[in-house]
Amino acid sequence: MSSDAMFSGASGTIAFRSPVAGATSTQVWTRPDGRRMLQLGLAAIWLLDGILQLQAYFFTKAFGTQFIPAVAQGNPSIIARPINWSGATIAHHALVADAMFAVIQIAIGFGIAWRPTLKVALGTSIAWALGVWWMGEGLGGVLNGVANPVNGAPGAVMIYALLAVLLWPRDHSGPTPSFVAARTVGEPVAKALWLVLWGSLSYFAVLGSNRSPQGLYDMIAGMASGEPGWLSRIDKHAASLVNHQGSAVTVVLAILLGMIAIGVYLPAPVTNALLAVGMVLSFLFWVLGEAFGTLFTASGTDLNSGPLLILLSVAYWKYTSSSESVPNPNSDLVSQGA
Amino acid sequence: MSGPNLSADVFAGVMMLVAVYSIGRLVAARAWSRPTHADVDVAHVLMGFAMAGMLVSAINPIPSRVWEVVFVALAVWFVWRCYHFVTQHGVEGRDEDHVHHLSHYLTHVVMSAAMLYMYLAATAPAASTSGSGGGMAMGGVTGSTANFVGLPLVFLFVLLISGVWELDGIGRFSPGRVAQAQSELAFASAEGDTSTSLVVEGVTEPIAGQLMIEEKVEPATAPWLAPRLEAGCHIAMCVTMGYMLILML
Repeated sequence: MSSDAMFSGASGTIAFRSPVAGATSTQVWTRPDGRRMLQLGLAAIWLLDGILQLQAYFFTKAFGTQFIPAVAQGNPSIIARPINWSGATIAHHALVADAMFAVIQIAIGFGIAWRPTLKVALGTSIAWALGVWWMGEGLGGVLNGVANPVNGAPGAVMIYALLAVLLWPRDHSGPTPSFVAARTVGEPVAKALWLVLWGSLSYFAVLGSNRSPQGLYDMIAGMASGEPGWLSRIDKHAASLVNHQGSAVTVVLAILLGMIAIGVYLPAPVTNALLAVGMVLSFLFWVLGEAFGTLFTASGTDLNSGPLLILLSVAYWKYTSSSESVPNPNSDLVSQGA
Repeated sequence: MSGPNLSADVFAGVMMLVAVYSIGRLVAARAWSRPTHADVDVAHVLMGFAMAGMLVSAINPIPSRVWEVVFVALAVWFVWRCYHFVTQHGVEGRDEDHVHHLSHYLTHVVMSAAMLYMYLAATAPAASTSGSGGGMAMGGVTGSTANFVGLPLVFLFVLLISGVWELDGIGRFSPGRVAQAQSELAFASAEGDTSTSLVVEGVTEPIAGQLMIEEKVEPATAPWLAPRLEAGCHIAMCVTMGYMLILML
């Protein structure tokens, strides 16, 4: 590879230029840019999931005989049968199965964090997430009518997969995107994906019993069980605020979520304001409806959807100045391991 | 062997390895006059042995009270290092290794605090469940510290983010990268001082399809001792500590 260098003794620096086409991952290391930061956030979450899988409960038969079959309930038999089969298989080989699940998720986390294995890890994460969405989350309750965005619908793992696609280390040809999530797939596709995701959250918010006067109360109050005292008190207090108000609250929630869904099509300041609202809502979902992914019950498998929705919102945050919107091509090269 | 015991044994083994390796680093750095983060290596030794002892109480002959004092001292030391760093290099500056920022020491403050937390939070159950020495049966403390869960959650996030951040940056120490940079320096310098060390400062901007990379040239010194292995130890520490904190949630 040819290159030329410039040395400045006075400043103590040397600058050299390397043709982009010849650059390799071992030749250049640069500070993480916005997309890389988000990839690292995703890596940390995968790593946490892997470590959570090492909790004692998941090494027991109960993981296969109680935890997994529970997500099959209410689903069509074509969906439920494989879930029940996988539950039985896991129960028979609890130690090996859980150790394997933990290792895979930790490997995905490390793989995303280590630049040479980024693509392999992201690809694996998509396949793994889709498998878990079916076998571990029963398609997020989408088909059995229990999906509610407040407690994680349509399934946190779907957002893992979506993030992996949006943060894939390649740049879409065309005009410079105005937000990180559009760098890989382009703005129209990225916006459409956002619209579908948040539009579905809006729809699920008023689905079936979710819009009943007591639906939200029952759900939030139910989360208090098994949680530490401080979180249980928060849940009970929050539940009392929506007691008998479920219908009105869910309608307002659905409108807000719908506005956030179409927000990416609006001018940057409006988009960012709605993204901020989305982040606040996601955090509230995480605390009140998801109890921090039930981390404190020694049986939480992941953080649930709240933190992932926040990470996704950051990826859609629109740059307001032209200088910020220029992606760092060098970082891409490194990320791609080109 | 049950799953939790297997996990604890594996993590304890890794921690013992890190502790022993860190002792080796301290010895090698002195023998070969190679620069290293001695205080970080000492911290890795202490944390490695302490965590191995927490995970497998049979290999911890030191009482918890002693460890608590040790980690208070370590936390105070790293707080002082942060202060010293800021006065020397500023908040945005880099360490003498030209790689690490202030966050390197802040992370070790958090790690020391997390160690202290684990000892303090688990003292009560340890008194009733542990056999000899100061060891704690990690599984036995689950749920006993529920009123403090906000704190370990913060520790947990800091540690995992630090772990992936360190892994992301491990390419900074690639031998191929250093070799290429050195050849560039040899080309650039008519005097041919090839013993200078080079550190990537960052990409400035793309110019007509090319990349410009600034390199800082420092006076000739012995290269830092195995920085990638030091980073590896840090990552192992972060993951193991994260595992233990999760058991205590």
